[in-house]
Amino acid sequence: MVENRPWLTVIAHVVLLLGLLITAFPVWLTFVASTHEGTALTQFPMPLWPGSHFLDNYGTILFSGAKAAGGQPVLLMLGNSLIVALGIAVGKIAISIIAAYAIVYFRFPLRQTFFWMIFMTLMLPVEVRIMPTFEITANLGLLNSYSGLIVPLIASATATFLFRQFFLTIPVELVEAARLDGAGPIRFFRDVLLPLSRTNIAALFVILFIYGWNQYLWPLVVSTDPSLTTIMTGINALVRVPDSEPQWHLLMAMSMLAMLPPILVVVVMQKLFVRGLVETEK
Amino acid sequence: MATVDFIGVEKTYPNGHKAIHGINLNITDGEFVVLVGPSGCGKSTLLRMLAGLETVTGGEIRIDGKVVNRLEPADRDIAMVFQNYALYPHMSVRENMAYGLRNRKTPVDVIEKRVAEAAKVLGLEGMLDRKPKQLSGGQRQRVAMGRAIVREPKAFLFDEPLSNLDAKLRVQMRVEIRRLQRELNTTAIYVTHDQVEAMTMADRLVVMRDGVAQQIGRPLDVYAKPRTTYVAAFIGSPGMNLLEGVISADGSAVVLGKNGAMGRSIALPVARPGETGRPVVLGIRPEHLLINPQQGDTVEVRSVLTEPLGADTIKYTLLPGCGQSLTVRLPGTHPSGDTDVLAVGFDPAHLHLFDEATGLRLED
Repeated sequence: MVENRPWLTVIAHVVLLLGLLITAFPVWLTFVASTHEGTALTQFPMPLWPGSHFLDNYGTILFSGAKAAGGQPVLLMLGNSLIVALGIAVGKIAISIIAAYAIVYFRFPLRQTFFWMIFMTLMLPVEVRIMPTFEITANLGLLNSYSGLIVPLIASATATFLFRQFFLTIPVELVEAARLDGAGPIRFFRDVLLPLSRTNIAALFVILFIYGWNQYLWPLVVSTDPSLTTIMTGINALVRVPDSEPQWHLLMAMSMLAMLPPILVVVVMQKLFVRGLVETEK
Repeated sequence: MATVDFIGVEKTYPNGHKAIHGINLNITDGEFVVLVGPSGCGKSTLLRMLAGLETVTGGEIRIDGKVVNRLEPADRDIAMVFQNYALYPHMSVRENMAYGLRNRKTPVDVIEKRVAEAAKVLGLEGMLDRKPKQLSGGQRQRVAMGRAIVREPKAFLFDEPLSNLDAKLRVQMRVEIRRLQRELNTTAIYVTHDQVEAMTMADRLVVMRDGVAQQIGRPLDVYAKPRTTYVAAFIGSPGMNLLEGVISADGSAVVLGKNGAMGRSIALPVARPGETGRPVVLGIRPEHLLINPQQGDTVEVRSVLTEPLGADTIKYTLLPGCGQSLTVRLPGTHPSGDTDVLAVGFDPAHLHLFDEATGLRLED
């Protein structure tokens, strides 16, 4: 909208600022809480400015962990979460781009049936099929392993569907030109399809990384080994410590740390895929 | 550098639709053949069958005498230029041109040499590192040509390559493609719906309709002696005037109008005795109509619209009484009195006669 009304501009900015304050305030409180002693947070009023225990709190949880919750250092949890999230994101992209390639470019019997079967699993989230999935994972002996955390979450109807829709927009002539240029299926995939999908891959990676990072229920179910604790299950474990008060200062520090990697991924990848978009737009 | 032969080539789609009905065509080495026809006539299908992008369901296609029906496109040693260019958007001009050669394991120095040569011929030297998106339509078209040239194929296939360009550029590229093809002396098969492109570029024309080759011949032969009314109307801009009529009682003239209803008769150069009353279609090209001729019969027509083209003027007129239209091409400029009444004479040397039922040309 190109309108020149000073009043509208002022109102728009006020609304935006209010919205920003409302969304940013809890995050600020989290940060503030993570820099105080545990006792400071149970008193009234709650502090609104950072305290002096920043290094103490973060040092404690990063390297030795909260005693009450089994004492796993958060660094280990972050590492586990990173492995799981990367595994899920990369695995999902790899599997679904290949599946979409097969569905779009190859004529084989029951092609449509396969597509709709994949599509239908969209309607069944992890929570719904958690029992059979657990059963299979257990039978395969994947409990308490990284594979068990990652593999069952890799199949992705959403990503397959997105890649399929993207491949359908690629002109047929490009495929034909590649055939005339002597590019077989694998060469075409590697030399033409993959480079063209770069922006889609980047966008999906962001979404899927966060999806993997935020997994809570599955890691909780499939792993009992403390050394495999992910950050999300770790945080929750600290909330529900029996027979003691929640250690809010440590909990908040953990939350702050848990937020960082997804933010980092968004910031870094956004640059990448915005650049990609600009390039193709030219 | 090759001959291409179509022998009874047919195409039937799995749904039973028959797109190509037995095409026979022998293309000699270095020849430029244009397949022309309206959209849906099967010309692109035929080209794509030659390229290997469509299967052949009947007959044989041979390149250099070798049957290629079952060969993969890449193994037929042909290069194709598509209407939308089909350049790889993420590759530079250089990579686009080199891609086919790289897949063929051509040595790097040979690739570089050929790309450099092609770029020089096509005037793309300064643009080798640009992406297709950074090029204009004409430049992209040239890159697509370059991709074909570097392969040094047995034949070039063009699928309406100029349709996406503006009119002026189209004329320029038309000349350029023809010049290039002559220089390289490579067999070329070119598909277009534009009869001007077809006339100007072709060594030989194939006029197609509904999967049938209506006429195959040199452009001027096709122009001078169209084999059917369809070809007569399609080739030439504007197309030939086609008027219904019947052979007169003595066979020396055609009486215009359905069943001769108009009453006007046009004398034939050669009498056709014994065909009295036969329904025919009389054809005459717009430039062969004479205004106010010194001798011979004339027909009075009413001008509906005048198109001044500069070099000549096109008048669209109506024959009184029967509602048939007649297009007249006059050399030079003429005042555009839109509702003039003109006395038009038919040049007997340039009359064409077709059978009304079959549309086939009636020879003298």
